[in-house]
Amino acid sequence: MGHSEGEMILEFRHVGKSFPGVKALDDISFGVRRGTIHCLIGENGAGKSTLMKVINGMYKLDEGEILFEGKPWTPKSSAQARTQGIAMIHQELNIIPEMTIVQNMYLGKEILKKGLVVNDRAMRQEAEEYLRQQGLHYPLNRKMKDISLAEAQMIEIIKAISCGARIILMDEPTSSLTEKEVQFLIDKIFELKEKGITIIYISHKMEEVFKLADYVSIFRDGKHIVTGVREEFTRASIIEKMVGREMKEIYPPRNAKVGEVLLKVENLSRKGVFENISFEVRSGEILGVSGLVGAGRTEIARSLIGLDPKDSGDVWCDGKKLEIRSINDSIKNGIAMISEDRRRYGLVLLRDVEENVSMVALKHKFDKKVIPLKRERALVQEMIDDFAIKTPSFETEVKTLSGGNQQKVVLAKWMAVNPKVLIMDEPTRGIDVGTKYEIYKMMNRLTDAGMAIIMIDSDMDELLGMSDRVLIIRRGEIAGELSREEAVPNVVMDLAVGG
Amino acid sequence: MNNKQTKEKILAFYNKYGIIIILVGLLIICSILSPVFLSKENIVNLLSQIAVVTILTCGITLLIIAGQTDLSGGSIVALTGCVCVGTFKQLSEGGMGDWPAGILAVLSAIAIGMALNFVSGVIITKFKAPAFIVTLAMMQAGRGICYIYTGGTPIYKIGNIVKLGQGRIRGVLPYSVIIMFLCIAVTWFILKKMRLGRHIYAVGGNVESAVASGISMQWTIIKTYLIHGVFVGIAGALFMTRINSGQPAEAVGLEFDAITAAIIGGASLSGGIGSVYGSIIGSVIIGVITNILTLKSVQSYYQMIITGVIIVLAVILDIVTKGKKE
Repeated sequence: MGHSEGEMILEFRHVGKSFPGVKALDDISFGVRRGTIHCLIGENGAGKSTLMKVINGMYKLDEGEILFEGKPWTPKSSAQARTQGIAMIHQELNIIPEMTIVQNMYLGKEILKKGLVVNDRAMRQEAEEYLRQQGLHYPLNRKMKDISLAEAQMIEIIKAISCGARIILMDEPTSSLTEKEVQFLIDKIFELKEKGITIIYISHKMEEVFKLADYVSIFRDGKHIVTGVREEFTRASIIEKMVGREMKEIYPPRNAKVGEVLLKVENLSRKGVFENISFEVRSGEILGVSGLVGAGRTEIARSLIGLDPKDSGDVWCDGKKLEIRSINDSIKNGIAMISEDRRRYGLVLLRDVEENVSMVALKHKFDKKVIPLKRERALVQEMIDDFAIKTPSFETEVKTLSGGNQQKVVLAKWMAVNPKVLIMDEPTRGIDVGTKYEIYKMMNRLTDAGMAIIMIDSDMDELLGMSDRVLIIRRGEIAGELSREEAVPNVVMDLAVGG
Repeated sequence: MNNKQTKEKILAFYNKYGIIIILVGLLIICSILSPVFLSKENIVNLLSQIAVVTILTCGITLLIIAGQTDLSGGSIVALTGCVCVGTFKQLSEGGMGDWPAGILAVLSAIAIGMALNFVSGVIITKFKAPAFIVTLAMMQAGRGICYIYTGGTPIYKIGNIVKLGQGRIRGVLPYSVIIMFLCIAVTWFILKKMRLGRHIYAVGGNVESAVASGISMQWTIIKTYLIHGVFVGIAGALFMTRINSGQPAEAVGLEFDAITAAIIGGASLSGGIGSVYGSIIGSVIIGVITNILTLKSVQSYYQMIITGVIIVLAVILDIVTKGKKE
């Protein structure tokens, strides 16, 4: 490495971290130099955020070690990391909206008079001094909820500096800022650098990376691919290294007989979230939907099926124009959605397999106020067999099942009402490899039977392995559509990241 | 089998049968402590004592499972009870027969119970207001309406409707106990056999998931309050006819007895978990403890302390057995 701004302030040596079924960090070794801006780049799930959380003390390492200023770094919490010199600015800020700026800044480290009474004046004066040093003039008695996100972020940064942070971690800090606010933040980051503070920065946005970075580290599938000075990279070479992978998993062959258009969406818009979304899905087809986290993929699906409001747009299913005002209108017309967050939107974890599987069917299949218990049990049995759900009994609480079996329960719940169009949001997230394959086969079986599947997927392998066609969403708009042949990782990523 | 599995099995066993074991143990202790405890007269007496609270417990159980609560139960029991005996008195003084007047009186009690709970339910769902606050307000308002209705003075000479609360079949089994069992059966049917029951569990267990499955959160909760309103009406009618007068200042804190019963019975205040079976046994346990303390002539002030201790013990037991897994 050519640059020699300073010695290594942070060093990773064979760092590893596993979660059930996933190796989130795999033998990571690289260093961060003092006083530099170091950008971490990678696809969703490449391990960047996990690495941040490890540095920050939110996760404990499984393997390897981290050296901070030459000494082993093992913080037990993010609070401890902060007091010892590494502070993180979160994507979602940790603030208490009902308290004032000063109160938030001194949360947990209030200045006390005689160790007993909160000394508001001292805190105020000190806070004003910090703000003045940064050239900022915020009304310190205003409540946190009344200031903008960019201002709140500045406060977080000032908080970090006031604690004596030598390293500041930023995880996609610009994701919800306006252009002007982004520029302000970038200026601030350069000022911090001049003061000798090291910045580790995660971003998906290429332009920011090229504006800011001294060093770039690229991650893929939990592995560290390369670290180098920014000048060594081009946009194309970064993308290539982000996606350049061998296909690890094998997918069951797709030989879909694509038929009539089943679902047609025209000019679907929701102000500030997504705009002019139009597409079609045909019977027997899997339409993959790609895009970065936050591009609006899930939001489009939720508005489409009536879980969230929409401003405009028409939906046709099976040739019929639909008036979708609530999720029930979708279900009635044969559109179902499996959420990316099954614990939150897919299951009632406290209840048993039977109740979860028949949750939609009670209303939309049987349609009786008194449950036809025999028919219900027969249906649940059929679904358990059909989807090979491994459960000790009907009465087993869903929360005790494995992730894969939980996902099958969600799938069974919707299949019980025979939808024509199925939206699957991250269909195999948090599932072991074996069950993933089972789910792929189920998807093939369903499309063979004439169903149309819309698959929102952040896993490039899976997306390209299963989709017949790929739609790419960028910042709430359709950035492109690719056939199975055209859809190769570089092209998809290129469209998703944009210029 | 390793240690952890054994422990889990014990926990599972406790979650299923623990409460009935506690009740049986309690019954054995009580029968040793007092020779009259197991007498037919005392058992019938005990059942009629717990009838009103148990009926209220039925409704509260549904609400707690749905992730809601009701603090206005006691106030509205007083109101519906006074309305019941008041209506009967008026109608029979106007020359109406006992049966039609009695039926109209009970129906008016039920109607008022439903109406006020409907208001609570609508406010809670429409404005996403916490049930705790809304029903706390209703507790005050309900008591106020009750005082206005009665003019602040008890209603005496209520006539033959007293038979509802005090009458017995063949001089043995009180009507109130039979009505209590009917209410329990209805609640069981709703929870076990009806779609609404499933929706109540789903909404209480995970409202976002329920809504994403096409279940109407609003209607499920409002319907639950309406059913609870029916039980409150019935409980009021039984309460006031049992004491042979319309007492506007009575039935204070009844809702807490019902909530306690549901919690002892394993219902989770965060919703999604609970059963009629558990709640009823919870109610019986409280009844048995009160009964034995009375039999042993323990002052009612001490009884209150003991009830307080029991609630805390039940909650700790619940957390220890259920919450550990996470």
